[in-house]
Amino acid sequence: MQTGATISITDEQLLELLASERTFERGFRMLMSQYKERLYWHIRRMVLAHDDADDVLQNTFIKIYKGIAHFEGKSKLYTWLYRIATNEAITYLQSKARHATNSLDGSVSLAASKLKADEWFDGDEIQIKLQVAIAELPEKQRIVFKLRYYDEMPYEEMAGILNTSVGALKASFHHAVKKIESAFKET
Amino acid sequence: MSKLPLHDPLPPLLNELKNKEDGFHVPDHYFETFENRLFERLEQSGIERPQELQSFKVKTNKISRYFPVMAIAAAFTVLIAAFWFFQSNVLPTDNEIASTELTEDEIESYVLDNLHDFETEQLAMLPSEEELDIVPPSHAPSTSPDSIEDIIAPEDVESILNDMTEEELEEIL
Repeated sequence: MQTGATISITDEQLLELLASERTFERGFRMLMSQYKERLYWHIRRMVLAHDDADDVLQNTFIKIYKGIAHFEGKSKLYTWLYRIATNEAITYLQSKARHATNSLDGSVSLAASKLKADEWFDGDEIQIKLQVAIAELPEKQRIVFKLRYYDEMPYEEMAGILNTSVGALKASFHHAVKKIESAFKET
Repeated sequence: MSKLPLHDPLPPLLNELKNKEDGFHVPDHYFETFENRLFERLEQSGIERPQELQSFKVKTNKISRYFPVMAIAAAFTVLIAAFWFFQSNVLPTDNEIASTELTEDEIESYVLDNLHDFETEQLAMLPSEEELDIVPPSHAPSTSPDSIEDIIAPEDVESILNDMTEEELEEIL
């Protein structure tokens, strides 16, 4: 996994730059610099293939660019950005699924084939099995599992992004873990 | 990616996989070039910069920007107010009162020196020492020319008149 150096800046400082026409572009570049990697990996684990993640990340930042003027500050900037990224990834997956096969295990096959076709994935069979098991989960459980397992996001923050109670999120994660465990036991 | 301890119980297999390389990579310099690629796409798509900026944030930030100055100004105001309050509330001791008490001569000389500040009518209204002796303020009834005989007995009036010189009598009349 590659990481680039970023200059740390507070959300308030970012918003101050974005609020002025003179410093807007600099502010937006800094916002991208600050959040692009976290959002990329969040999206990548949802859509799996790098090219898809790149498309979704670009769409996410275009949405942010258009919508930053309407950010009301009711939630943290980070929460708002994650929510946009999550929605973009879901929309992208749904549009892909409509074009995919109508077979019941279409999404599972799609996940496995995507990973195998992606030149930027070199995980072994057990990693592919894990990704396939995750792909089999219902949408909400899949998102909760990824946010918790990979991003190690606290449930309180997750609740802000997904508009769900902490208790429901914990239950979703618990069910997701059980299902993945069962998937491994079956094979 | 952070590696904070995950407190949720995970099956051993998931724990093991979590600590292993997951197999996802990105092309070289992908993140370094991302901003420029996005701005190129924004230009190509003709997406304009948002017109409506975050006025609510500007207000908030103006307050937060001037907060230190406001806090210092408030602190100074409180200090000055506290100093003034304590100064005005320090009661003088008996000795201090005695040392600052003015003598009659001092008062008189002050009044004479500043006579122009006093209205003549106000001065005229001041009772003389004799008047104060004759009619103590605590017993002073509401007087009128008709009731003066109630205050001074006729025999007293006669003796007063006898004590007066002719010039004084002429002045009154």
